Amino acid sequence: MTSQFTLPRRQFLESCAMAGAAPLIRRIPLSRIPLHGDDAPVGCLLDVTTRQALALRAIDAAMAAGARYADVRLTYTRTRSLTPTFGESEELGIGVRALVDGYWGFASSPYWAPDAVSWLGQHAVTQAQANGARPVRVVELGTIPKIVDGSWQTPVKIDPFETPVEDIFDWMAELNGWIGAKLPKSTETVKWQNSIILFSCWQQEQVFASSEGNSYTQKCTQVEVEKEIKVQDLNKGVEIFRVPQVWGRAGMGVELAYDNADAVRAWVIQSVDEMQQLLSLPKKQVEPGRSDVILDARSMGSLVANAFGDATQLDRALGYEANAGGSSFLGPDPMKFLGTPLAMERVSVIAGRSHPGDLATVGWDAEGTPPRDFPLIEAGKFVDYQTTREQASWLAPYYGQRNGLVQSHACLTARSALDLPMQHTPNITLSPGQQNLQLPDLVASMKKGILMRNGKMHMDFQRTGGIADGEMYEIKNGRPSAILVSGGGLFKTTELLKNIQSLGGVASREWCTAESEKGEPSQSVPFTVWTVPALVEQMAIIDVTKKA
Amino acid sequence: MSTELRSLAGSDSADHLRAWFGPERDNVPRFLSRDDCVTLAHNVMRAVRGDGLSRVNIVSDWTGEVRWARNRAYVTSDRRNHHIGITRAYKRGITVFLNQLDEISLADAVRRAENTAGWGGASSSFFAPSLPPVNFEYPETHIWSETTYAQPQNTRGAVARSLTEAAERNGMLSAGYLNVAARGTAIVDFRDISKFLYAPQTLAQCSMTVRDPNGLGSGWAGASSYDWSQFSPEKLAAVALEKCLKSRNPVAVEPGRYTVILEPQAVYSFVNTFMSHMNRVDAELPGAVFWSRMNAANIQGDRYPVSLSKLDERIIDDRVTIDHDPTDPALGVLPFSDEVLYVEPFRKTTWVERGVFQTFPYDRKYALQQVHENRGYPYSGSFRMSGGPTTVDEMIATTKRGLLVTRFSEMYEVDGLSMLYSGLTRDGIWLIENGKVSKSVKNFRFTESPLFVLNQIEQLGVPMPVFSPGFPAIVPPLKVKDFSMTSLSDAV
Repeated sequence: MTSQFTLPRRQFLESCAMAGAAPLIRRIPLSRIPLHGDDAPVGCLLDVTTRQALALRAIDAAMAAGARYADVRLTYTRTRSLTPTFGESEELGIGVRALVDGYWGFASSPYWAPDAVSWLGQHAVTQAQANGARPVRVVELGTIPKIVDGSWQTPVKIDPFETPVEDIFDWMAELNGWIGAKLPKSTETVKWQNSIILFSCWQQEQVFASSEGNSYTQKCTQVEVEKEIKVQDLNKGVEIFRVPQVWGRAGMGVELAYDNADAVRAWVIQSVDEMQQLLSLPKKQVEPGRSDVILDARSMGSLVANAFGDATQLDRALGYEANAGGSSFLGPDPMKFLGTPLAMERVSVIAGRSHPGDLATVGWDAEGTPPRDFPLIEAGKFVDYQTTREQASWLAPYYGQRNGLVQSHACLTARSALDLPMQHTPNITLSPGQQNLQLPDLVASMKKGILMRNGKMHMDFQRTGGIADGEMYEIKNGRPSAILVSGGGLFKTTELLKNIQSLGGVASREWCTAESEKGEPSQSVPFTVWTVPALVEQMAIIDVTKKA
Repeated sequence: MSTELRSLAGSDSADHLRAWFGPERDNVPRFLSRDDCVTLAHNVMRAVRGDGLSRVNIVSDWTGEVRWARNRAYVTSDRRNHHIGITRAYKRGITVFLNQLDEISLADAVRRAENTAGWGGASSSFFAPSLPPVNFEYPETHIWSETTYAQPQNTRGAVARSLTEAAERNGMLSAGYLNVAARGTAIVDFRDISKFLYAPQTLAQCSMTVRDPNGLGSGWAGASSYDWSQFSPEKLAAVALEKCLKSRNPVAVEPGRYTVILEPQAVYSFVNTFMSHMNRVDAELPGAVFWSRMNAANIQGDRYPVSLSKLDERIIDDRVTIDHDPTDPALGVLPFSDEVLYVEPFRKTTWVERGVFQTFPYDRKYALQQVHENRGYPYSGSFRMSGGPTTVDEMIATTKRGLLVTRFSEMYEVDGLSMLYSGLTRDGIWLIENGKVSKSVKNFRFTESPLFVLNQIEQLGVPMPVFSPGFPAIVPPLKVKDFSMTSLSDAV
């Protein structure tokens, strides 16, 4: 079947030849305008050795200008989106951090050239010194393992930038055509919508060097594949949507799309069935009061991302984000919270940047710390915050009590070299329960209660609580019995965590994408959340549309 | 190890670009000037092969900023970048983005745009002949301040330092952010290279949150303008500190309907939300979607003829006029919408006149079909809202029982059909009893609609500029009755 999107391949190549350019398979800059005898490569064509030389030049300049510590990142970032609109971008950046008298200075620019990077290194120091008269501070960076010429890349089976765009378009058209044929026919009152498949990719080559003699190169790849099926019952005023749990944004190549195509096909059949059943249920106004609620994995993902992902950022807890996103219920004094029970004993949450395929996974963080998984919640007890090298030292008394190791948890991140590196949320995993329970099992054993699907947690600026907002269904005797409208769950975080009665097992695990948003100006860095569905006892249910 | 590199082409026309990243001197430009952009555009033009349409958008940015927390300036930064969009189109077109200035990178980007211009089919790229030229007249707006641009770097550091002193003396913790930024925006359409758009602008902002070290209170103040001298960081710090001190140890009062006195920043959250609904371009569910009916241009297909819209109807309090004059010195914005493709100049517009809905924004397609004009009508994001004579103190004195609100947190949409939103109060809320501020109270979660708020106004105050970086807005304080505070929050 010929896709509406593509020319037959031969025709495409011919048309490129006529335009005097190479096909899109490999980026080669042809049509070079004569440069008055200069053939030196520029920008992204510079090889690794040259980039590393530039990095060291920037460090040398910063140290010569008076820094105690300096690090530099060079990044070459490419993005390409295929749908809904085709677009491409490339961006080069270099950013230098300098520590002078305990104050940070940061300078960034798009120029990869010897004079430019020397100036930048010096300029970062000028920034750190531009603080007016202020007392000298001590910043403890601790130590990290030495890395010399380290190298890492996201394990990728099919590089999205080496894949002919038309192949992906063909594949999307065929699969989406198949999916469209499987959806029931829309009627006057019941509309089925088959979204296009969204596809985009991001790739970044990084060079890092620090004044401690550490250096690495990394090549990170991320691909995003999204799909949605939606049905609207216009008479009932009800809308249900489903997304396949095998797709989303991940640290891998086009295999994310291709390898999961069969699973997506199975998902379509199963979802259409489920959506038709749910749509046939009567609509009911929600009854305010307390009820047991089953939160599906995606709803738990939103809870975990907000409650743990944001609230356990140490700088946030100490007030560094007070003028932006807010602070944390796990503050202002971390020592009052570490080691205290926060959730039911069955709840454990682990953070890290090592799991293959997850978005925050790297070989080293933005200042060279190698990642290692660490627990945030251990058997219900809150045991640690997210930290960087500087921040780990802020908890030295606590770590001293535990095992004596003051160590960064490798949470420093910069989306590109142009951004100030900041502590951002790593990947977070809610450990599955011991029993082999999946969502249908949780529903089947519920006599009377509520099921929430695709829930989003709208939380306050300290994450002390919020409203759970999603598709809600009344469950009676183990089956959905009505669609509940205008409903939401009003919760206090600590109360909810202590009311988690059961968790789905290993087979019920799902992943989704969340964003770590912080900083001024705001930075947004994606991370992966792995969760399971959960049964929460006695949640306060309200009518969200009801005014006081 | 040191290969000599030239990041910029050897041609003479590019030499002055080289000075861009040189050693710090007073006259080293931090963003691309008009001449720089002309040179860049010529370089792009030289790379173009064949016919078809070509356009280049150039935005260069510089920001000098200081961020502080726990009473000390934590990091000082200087960040620069360019965003260059090169558009090539035969029948269909595409834009590729890069941030390099050298001829090789530019030529390469042009080539990629030409190779991929046909990709994606009808939904995926724009239709070239409908792309409007950019040779229109645009108003002169107040967006450049020479003194702001020339502000010495050490000034920012010194100001940040001074802002934390009072908080520290009072045993409180100040966290905040200030910046000065400059940007050069150029749009060149090669169909008529002599008439291209270029607008330099400056931006400045300062905001801070002062908190009790035990987490028992919080106060905020902020301001933004293109001109640093338009606000006083010291005054902001004093306000934030005072609010913090007065907000400590809040008590819980019952949720319910309250008469609220909303400071301008709080009013801005609601009015900005209200205006953004007017600018929406989605109307998926048929039926009574308020703004879809109001804004016929948002309508997909012919489902809602203009006759169903609320044009010329009174929709909010008749004391309220919301308008924008781009040439107003206090409301300067970039004089044209900086879309990549459909660039339109902003016009002096009255969106709502004495409560009556006057006009809505629309795109070029709607203009051609319905208004028989070859230009769209964009919304600038900036506005002035009319006010009244009542001061906040007078509002308090005439309130038997109510709440005084500093600002709101981000709100989420509960129901688009009725424009219902939910969010929280933040950084200072007090109970008013018998004409006096009596005590600090805990934050509330509210469930309320901007439309309802703008129809329940009891008193209006003098409009003043609010904290809205990039989109200046002038908004009055309001006393509003029956504002719905639905539950208490523990968040401070």
